[in-house]
Amino acid sequence: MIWSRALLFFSFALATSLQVNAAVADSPETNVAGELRVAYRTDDKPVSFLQDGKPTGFLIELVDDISRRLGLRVTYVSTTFAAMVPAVQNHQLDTAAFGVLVTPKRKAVVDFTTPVGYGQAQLVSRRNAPLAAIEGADGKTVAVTTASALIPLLQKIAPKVTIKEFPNIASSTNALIAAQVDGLFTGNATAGHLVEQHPELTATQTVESGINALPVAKDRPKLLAAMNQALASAMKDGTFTRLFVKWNGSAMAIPQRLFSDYPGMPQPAPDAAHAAR
Amino acid sequence: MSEGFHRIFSTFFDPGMIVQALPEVLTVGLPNTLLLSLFASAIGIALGLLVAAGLLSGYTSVRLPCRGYVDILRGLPHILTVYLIGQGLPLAGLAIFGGNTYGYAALAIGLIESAYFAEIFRAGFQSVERGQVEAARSTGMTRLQTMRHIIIPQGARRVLPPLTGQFILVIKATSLVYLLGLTASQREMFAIAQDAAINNANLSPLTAAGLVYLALTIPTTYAVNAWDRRIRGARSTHAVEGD
Amino acid sequence: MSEMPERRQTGAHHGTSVRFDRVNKSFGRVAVLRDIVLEAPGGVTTCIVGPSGSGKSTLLRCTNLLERPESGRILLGEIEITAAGANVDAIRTRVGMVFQHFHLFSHLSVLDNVSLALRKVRRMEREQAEDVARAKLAAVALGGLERRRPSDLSGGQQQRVAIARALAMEPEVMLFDEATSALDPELVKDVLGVMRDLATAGMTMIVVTHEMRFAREVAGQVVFIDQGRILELGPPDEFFDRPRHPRLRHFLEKVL
Repeated sequence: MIWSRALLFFSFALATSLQVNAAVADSPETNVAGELRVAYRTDDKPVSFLQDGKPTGFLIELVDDISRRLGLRVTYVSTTFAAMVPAVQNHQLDTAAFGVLVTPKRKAVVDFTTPVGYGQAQLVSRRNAPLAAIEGADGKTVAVTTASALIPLLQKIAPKVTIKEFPNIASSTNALIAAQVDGLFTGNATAGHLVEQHPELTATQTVESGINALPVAKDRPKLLAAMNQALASAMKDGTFTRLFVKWNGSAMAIPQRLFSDYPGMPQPAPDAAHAAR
Repeated sequence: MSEGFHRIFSTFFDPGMIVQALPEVLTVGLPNTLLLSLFASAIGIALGLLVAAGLLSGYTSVRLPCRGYVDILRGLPHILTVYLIGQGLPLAGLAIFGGNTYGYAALAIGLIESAYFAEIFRAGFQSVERGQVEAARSTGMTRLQTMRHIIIPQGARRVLPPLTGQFILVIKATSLVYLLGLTASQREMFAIAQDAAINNANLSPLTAAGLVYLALTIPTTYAVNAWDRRIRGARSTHAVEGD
Repeated sequence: MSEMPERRQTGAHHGTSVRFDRVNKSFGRVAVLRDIVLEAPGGVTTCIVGPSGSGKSTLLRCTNLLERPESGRILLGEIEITAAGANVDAIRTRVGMVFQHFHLFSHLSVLDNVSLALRKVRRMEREQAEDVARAKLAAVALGGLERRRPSDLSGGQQQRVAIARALAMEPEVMLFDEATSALDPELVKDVLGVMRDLATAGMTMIVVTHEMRFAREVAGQVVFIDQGRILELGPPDEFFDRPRHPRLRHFLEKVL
């Protein structure tokens, strides 16, 4: 009696776990069936951040939209920039909702979707000791997030600038305000936000760093294809354009290269920015 | 099955990655780790001695603040104190070390450790027999002379093993310096390993750094234990002779 | 022993006296010393005997201010050492103390044990301090052991080092707190011998002891303390041969 009941329980458990694989039939295989587990950052405003206890931001809403199109529920998991790529590679997470620069080393361990943006890192410095550009700032110290792909780029264009690595944007901003560093580099959206938040800071030079895309594990080609397809639809039907304007305002332009990547993507309406506000 | 094993192995113990990471961990990270450990310990020991003297003071107005200092610093997570002091001091306009991350890190870790060192010193001083102190005072030596020539040298012998044990904890605590921002040449073992782990999307560089930490800490731990046993042994036989 | 004849010149009965004037001391609620009135005359050995816990050690420890009396006065020569603002450290250089358990500085050599206070308190040069220390060690028959550690010595040797350490400061008064109680019987004799020589040389000594034979032969006066009070005081022959107080008679019956 006990044995047969145990057997029943066991086969039920087995069936449930088999269902995981069965679900793949219509929605693409993810680490947890029916769910898209996504890395986000708590401090990368306005791209990916935490507000009122909920992840929000430009790329969060874009990923929300993509997962709707894929028929997947989204779960956001906060990670640091540093921990994200290994987490995707090792099937802890399916993808990330923040700007990840596509680099050869990263491409060796994870795949990337088609572009969601072009990395435009901007130099932020103190208004009372501004840095106009990284070139010629010899002897100065500039903060960059640990292991950011910007580091080799900056070393190439300004070898005499000292680069200091910080674990997150909050700590590098503190260091900048406290004059522990002379400038910091971060994505232009974040830079714009920092300048708004801290009137004593100013954003100057923009450095184009490369393609930003969403990472997907190498052994999930179906998920990658589905995400690319969803992304293309979001571009074409204006969802991307609407979200971009909503989060970045009208002052920032959508990178031109995106329009050639996704033919037919609508331009923001001239008054869209005002409407969004 | 073997694929699973291979994946576990390559995640943590990729020999190529370990070998690739080791040179920088050893030539840049190890000296920085040791440098920071020594600075932090120097600050911790100097402050710890002062606080220990305060803990043993006959005046409540001295003893209580020292007690509070020890309780607070031992009661906070290291990471919180390192952030508060390392980022807080320059933000508050107290940029006493200029832009030198190591200054703030050594101060923050030194402050934390001073609380632990203080307790070690207090116990050490209290373990010096009362009779030794009375004998010294009976010859006319002042309180300070007795402290300097009798209590500290005798207490030091007993305190050295736990002090060394605490130094091991300092070595490990220095990895928190990455919170305060490091230039490439300032990175200690953990920061270097972390960077390599992120860039290669593989944890093996962290394993490499871990091996170096272990090479530092495990032999020291065993040496300290042996040393401690010897001192305790010597003390108990001595006590038998004395009585 | 070499320096004793020199001492003798100061002569008996000319040394510094110690006077206790209604001294009271208690630990918490326990009264340890009650209205002690006593004079330890200069150049004379005063032996204090009594049951354990009677307060004799406390009386000794009050004499160099290791304990502070609650009331009463203690005078060293003409100086009131219990006065407020008295220089305790300076007073202690004039009063040598020898403990039951020796309390040699365990981290220092025999020579350093004896010379440390000379260097730090008397501010002597090391060489000069060590010369004095060697002479004091020779005087207690320990020449040649200067480099040893206290733990390498026998109990008797350790106690003689402790005596040399106290004597190095050239004290006017020597206090012995059961100096032979912790020693093996065969080692007691050497230490008592050194104490006897000191007494003969005219040192003012207060000796808390259980060695009744020593008290009888060396003391100028013997004091019986019980429950914090002096119950009897007198020259040794009277004290031992014709005890008056019944408690002293009872005590002597037990120890002799």
